[in-house]
Amino acid sequence: MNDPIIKVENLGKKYQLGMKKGFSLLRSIFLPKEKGEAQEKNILWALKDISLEINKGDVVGLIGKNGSGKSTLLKLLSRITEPTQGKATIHGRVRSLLEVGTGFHPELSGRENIFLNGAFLGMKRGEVEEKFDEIVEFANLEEFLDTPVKRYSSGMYVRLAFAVAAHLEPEILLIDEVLAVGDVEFQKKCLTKLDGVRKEGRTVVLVSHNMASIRSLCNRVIVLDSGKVTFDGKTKEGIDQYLGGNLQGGGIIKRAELETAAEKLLFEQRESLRCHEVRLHNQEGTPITSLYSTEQVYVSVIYECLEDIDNLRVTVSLKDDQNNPVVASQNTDDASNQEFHRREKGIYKSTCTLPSDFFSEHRYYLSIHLHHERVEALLLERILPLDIHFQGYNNEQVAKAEWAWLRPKLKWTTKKV
Amino acid sequence: MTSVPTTIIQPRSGSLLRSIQELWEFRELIWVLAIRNIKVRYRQAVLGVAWAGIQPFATMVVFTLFFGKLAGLETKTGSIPYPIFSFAALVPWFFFNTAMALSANSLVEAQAIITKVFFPRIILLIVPILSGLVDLVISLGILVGMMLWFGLIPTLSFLSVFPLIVLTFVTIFSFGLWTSALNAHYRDLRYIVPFALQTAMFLSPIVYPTNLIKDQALKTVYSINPLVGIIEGFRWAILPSTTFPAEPLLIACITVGVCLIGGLVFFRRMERTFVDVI
Repeated sequence: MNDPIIKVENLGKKYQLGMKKGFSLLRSIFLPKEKGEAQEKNILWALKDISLEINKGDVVGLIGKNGSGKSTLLKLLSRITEPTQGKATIHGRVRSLLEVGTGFHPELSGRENIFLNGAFLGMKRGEVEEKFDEIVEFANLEEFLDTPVKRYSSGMYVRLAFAVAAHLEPEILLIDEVLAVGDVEFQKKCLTKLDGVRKEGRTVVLVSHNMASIRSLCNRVIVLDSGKVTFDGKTKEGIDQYLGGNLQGGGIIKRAELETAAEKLLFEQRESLRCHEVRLHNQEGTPITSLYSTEQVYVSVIYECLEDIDNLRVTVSLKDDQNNPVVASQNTDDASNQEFHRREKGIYKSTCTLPSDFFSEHRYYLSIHLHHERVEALLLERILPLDIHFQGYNNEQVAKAEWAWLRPKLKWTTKKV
Repeated sequence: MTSVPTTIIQPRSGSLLRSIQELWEFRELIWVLAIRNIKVRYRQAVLGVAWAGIQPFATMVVFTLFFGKLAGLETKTGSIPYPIFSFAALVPWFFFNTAMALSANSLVEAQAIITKVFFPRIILLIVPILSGLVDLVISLGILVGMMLWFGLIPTLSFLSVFPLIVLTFVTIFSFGLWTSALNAHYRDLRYIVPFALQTAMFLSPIVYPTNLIKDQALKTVYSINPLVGIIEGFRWAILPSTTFPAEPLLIACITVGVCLIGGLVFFRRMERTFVDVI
């Protein structure tokens, strides 16, 4: 049987915006239907014309920016919502884990919740009973089995929830970003468990922002961008394509490009910040993305405060190719910035100086976060690459690229004792 | 290779038959949820499940005092003592009232689950009705106790309460199909349902007997409310010497049948978009 286990053909999902909270019965009766044109404006295709095939035993990583349609695709495949167009054919039982702990009831004990959660995920009572001891052992909650889960710590809660889910035995498992929870040790345990699931020949589709876990688990990656598949193939190439997706040429990025690259989080319904320019340059002010380790690196951000802002934080960070932060700094770290603690409406330029004799031989990726507390956060992830060429110290150039992310010039003393 | 199910996902897919099959596959969930509801409802309440009996009983006492004695309705109920007369109506009424209120909110309340897990949504409607059965059994027990107290020995006809309970069940279910689906799209239902239930109490022969309505045509229209037939049926089950309410029950079955079929079609249509609007 060489048929793909999941076959998706031209799948699309359209959302009508602006009706999320339910709408009034009276309004829909008495107000005339909106004109077609006005309706078109409020339509968002979360996914459009998606076609792909997933074979048995594949572990597919689904990656993409927020809002690229990853979760929508999982929701369609797990039948939580129906597509607007297209078709998906699935051979086998699908179980999805879109959020840990859904279906838990706070008043019920851990034991009762194991059965409840199992039932939600489609397990029969017998199946749960068979796995019960394993689940309890995995979650490491023997002593608290008869305590209502409302008295559990959040860590215990997550452990129990993942334990139930991890012991599902479907042909196809869909997982959305649930590995981001729990402590590191438990995360490792979950990854090991998932690896076991893979070895049993089950098919897994995994959504995650954690490139390290995608890299270690998946044999294939699908990159989604604005509801379309932009890459489908080998894991390494997919991750490179995704992480490189935001990169721009030169050492300077202007407003128009920033608008599309920025991820905005609005905590209130108003915009207070606008980013005009990000520039990576040397001491002379020349935009550049490739420098020697003996030079200072300057990061300048030009931004506009659309209103008076208290306590604006500008964070500059450099990340590695797996999206782990290597080094970060905030404007508020430097006392000389305090006079701008309160910024009046207007345009500002903040410059961060990264020291010379600090970096190793690597490619780093620059991220900028502008954060106006409780109002708005403007995230510019991996917008520029920075290649540092390590020059060595004292005429000695001993530095392998894999050696270390930072290779600063530090003070040493050696004495004969 | 063991047989694995094949699922085809596309717009407007799935027949009614497939839905029923799915409901069967998820029977475990119905059971677990109903047990959960019952456990949770009376946990941390001192009197616990006794509340299921106290509520209708206290209502009966109030009705007997005000409607029976004060308004003088106790002379209109024929050979049934007023407390039994009203309690026999309160047994199905409390079941109906509680389950209706819960099922109208069932989808909206389960929002967090609906958006994260797939299962036949219709389960959420069945569960509150199923868990209401526990309360019903308790109040039914009180009814038998009261009958014995008043010297009415239950006869074989008392067994007819069971098909009547089934009819009440289906009534709630068929109404719930409409209210819950509408509530997911239009939150107005949150205000309409409690008001409608309050009105329904007076539109049903709970405190008064139906023989107060003399006009035959009016009585037929009145019987469109399925509770009329059900309540009359309950009273007949207690005192079979009265006439069997054949006409109201027939009308009730027609009403419920129409609501059920229409409701299933409507619910299935709305089901597809709950997640996106809820």
